[in-house]
Amino acid sequence: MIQQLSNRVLRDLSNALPAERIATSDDLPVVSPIGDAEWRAALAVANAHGSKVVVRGADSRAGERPWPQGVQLVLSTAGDDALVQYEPGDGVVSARAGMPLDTLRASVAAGRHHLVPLLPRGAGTIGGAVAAGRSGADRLRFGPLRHHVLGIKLLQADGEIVRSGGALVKNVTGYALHRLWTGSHGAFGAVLEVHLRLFPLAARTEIAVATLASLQAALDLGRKLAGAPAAPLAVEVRGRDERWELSVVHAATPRVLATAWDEARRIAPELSTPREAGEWVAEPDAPALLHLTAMPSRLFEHLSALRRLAGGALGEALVRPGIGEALVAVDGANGGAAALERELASSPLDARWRRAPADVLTASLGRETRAPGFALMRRLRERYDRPGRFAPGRFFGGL
Amino acid sequence: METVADRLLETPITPALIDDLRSLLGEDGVLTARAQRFPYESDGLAMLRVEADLVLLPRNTEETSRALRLLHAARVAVVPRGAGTGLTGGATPVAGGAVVATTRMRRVLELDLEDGWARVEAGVVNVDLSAACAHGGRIYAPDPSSQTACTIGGNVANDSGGPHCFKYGSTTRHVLGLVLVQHDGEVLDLTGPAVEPFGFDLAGLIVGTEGTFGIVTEVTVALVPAPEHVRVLLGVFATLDDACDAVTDMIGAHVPASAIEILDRLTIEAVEASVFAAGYPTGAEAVLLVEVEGSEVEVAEASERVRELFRAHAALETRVADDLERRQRLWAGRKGAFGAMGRIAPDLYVADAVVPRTRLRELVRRTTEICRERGLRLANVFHAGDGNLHPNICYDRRDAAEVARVLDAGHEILKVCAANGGSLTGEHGIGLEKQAELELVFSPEDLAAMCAARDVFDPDRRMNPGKLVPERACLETRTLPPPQLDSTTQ
Repeated sequence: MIQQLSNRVLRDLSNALPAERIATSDDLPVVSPIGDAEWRAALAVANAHGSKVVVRGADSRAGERPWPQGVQLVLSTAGDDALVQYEPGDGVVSARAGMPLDTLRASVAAGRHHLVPLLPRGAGTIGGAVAAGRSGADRLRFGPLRHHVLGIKLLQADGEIVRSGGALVKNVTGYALHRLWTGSHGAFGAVLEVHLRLFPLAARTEIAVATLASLQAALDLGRKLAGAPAAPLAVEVRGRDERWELSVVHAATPRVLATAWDEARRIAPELSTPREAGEWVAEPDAPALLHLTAMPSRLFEHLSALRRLAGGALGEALVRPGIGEALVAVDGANGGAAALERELASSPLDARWRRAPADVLTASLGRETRAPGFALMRRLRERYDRPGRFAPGRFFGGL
Repeated sequence: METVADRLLETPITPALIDDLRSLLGEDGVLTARAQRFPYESDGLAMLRVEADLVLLPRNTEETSRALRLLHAARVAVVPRGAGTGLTGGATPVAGGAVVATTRMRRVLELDLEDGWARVEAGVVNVDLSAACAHGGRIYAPDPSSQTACTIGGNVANDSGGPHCFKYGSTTRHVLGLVLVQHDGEVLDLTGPAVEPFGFDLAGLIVGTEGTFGIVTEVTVALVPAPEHVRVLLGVFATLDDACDAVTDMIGAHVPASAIEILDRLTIEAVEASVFAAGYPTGAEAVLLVEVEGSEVEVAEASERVRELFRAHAALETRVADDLERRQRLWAGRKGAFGAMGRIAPDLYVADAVVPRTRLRELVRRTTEICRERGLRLANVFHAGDGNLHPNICYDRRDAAEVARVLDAGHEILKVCAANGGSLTGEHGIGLEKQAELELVFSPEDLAAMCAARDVFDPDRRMNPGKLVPERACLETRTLPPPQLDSTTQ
């Protein structure tokens, strides 16, 4: 039945779009429109057939939300990857959603700009990062990504393409719908284009590390370093059990770096000699990964509570003490993630899966429905996507 | 004296409703006499004035919620209001109803200097919050020029800015959570503070909605560390063009400033003749105020780069202020500029538009021409670093013809900015003033998407009706009368 439906959808897609835009994957049509007109045309076909669609970029966050119910068409941003506008003199960049983050980062670096969020290499597309509201290792210095999304162009379920915000660093014209759309995982439509604020690219980035035997000691030291007057780009604590590596990253001019490291060594004499940072951004690689947040002064307490809930199932952790967030690997293969999710259901901890087995992701939806304002979120989702065209069941609380 | 009782036949407000509200808010929490309601007829955009049927002054979230339940049951329109310092008519009633002001909600409820946040009631005055946390080495960064009067709740409603938003961003970047009392009195508690929104970013959406989604009664805000060292550099320029070009080059060169502001000749003269006199050179065509902050070395490096750019753009003089007193004096002139302009004319129309920072000189020139063509006096004082223009048109509202020219100039300025990649407002909001111009930057579909969000929060559109999104864009079936233009003799 699904195959027959897909065949009809494929036929109409072939009539509406160039053949090279259409492929199949796992028996589902995958369409990669380029430009607003093709996106409209592709969605019109889905609407005509009543097909549920899922939007994806580089598929790098496929394991973050449950797979939606009854999807018959995949709309991919992968081919729609143009740099729309970059004006180095204004510090703003506009790009189509499918542009890989790495490519966009390199493009603006040519104009001596830094792109937020700083994520590990190969972390997908800018549209995916915005849809997921994904902040990076540079959040300590620059704040979360959602603060720097200046505007978004979005394809709604009704086929209309709408804009919120724009390519200006300061702008309060109209409702900030782009704030609603950022981090919604596409619940309100397909992100087609984004406008982002840029920051000056530092002359040099250096890193220094120290090894500590206790997480609490590493976090205490990390918070002091994060709060130093010469603000670091990042302070991270990485490890497990009784071995924790504290790393401090400063990005500045050589003179400023010299004084920043003097100050850092006064706070933490055990820091190594700083070196050129190179490719320093990395996140734990595990089939089940939990993102825990808490106010910085309470992060250790929350991590300890998580450890108690998880029994022995926790693996490597990456902790950002100045922000109040941790990425913690969980032993998913032995049922550790499922058991932990059961514990989290009755816990006040703010812990969300970045990657997990499908059954764990589905189970976690129940927790989300208890979020303050969930009834409003449901009404918003229903208002913008009445037929549930975009990936029903995939979004927050199973919306 | 006319009281609301005189108008009861025309409004849904009954004596029984007023009694219920008095029982809830106390005698001094319900204002019905005309003389009491008079100050609530307009905000800082004094040319638009409409009388409210009554004014309510709840003392906390609970009272606000219960008052809105009563108003909801009676189907009374609600106009949220902070200190009334807004400049676009956002707190001006459109068709009577009840103004609900947050000015009696002035408590700082929680202050966490270690993690850097505070939970405050909406009526807390902006500058009082920074004063409350200064002893802990923290500041509340958004600093509108009206910060000695404007409230945090009003700042949230308008997503207000200020000079230091060049570095720190406008209000929305500092809101960690909030409490919203909705049209039917239901309380949405998103106070947090949370590192990440749990689900959709409702708080981020609510900031800047100008009271059309409900009344924000509490706000959790981020407090940033006070900078270790601060320096203000004042560049004196022979032309406004030179000052604008210096800013454009400063942005292009990535100079790490925390504030970049321009004042033109007319503004300088008004400031120097006022109590806000800052020692600006009165012969100059423009001054450029640049603040840099950070470690000692960061301040030194940034200052040198600023000086170089001043020199490259033919600055006549550069003054430097390191100590607090001298810095405050320089800033007092900038912050008091709007007040000082009372010396030039009885009224001031403060326009607010944003332009790409690469086009500052050209568009500041054009705004000047627009005013000159209409025989209007223009004073420029603006957040140059953000491309946020504030052409201030001096006028006398007793002169109806001049008022018409002012409004025409304001419209033309917005049209030119929008046509050149800019936008309608950087920090003052849309309010009543700029609704027609929204269509210069948004399509009907964009506006319909905004209306859809509004419908979810306030399906009857009784929260601040007639504001921000044009009613026709929302396919409003109820016709609201246009705001009255006040040209009465003062």
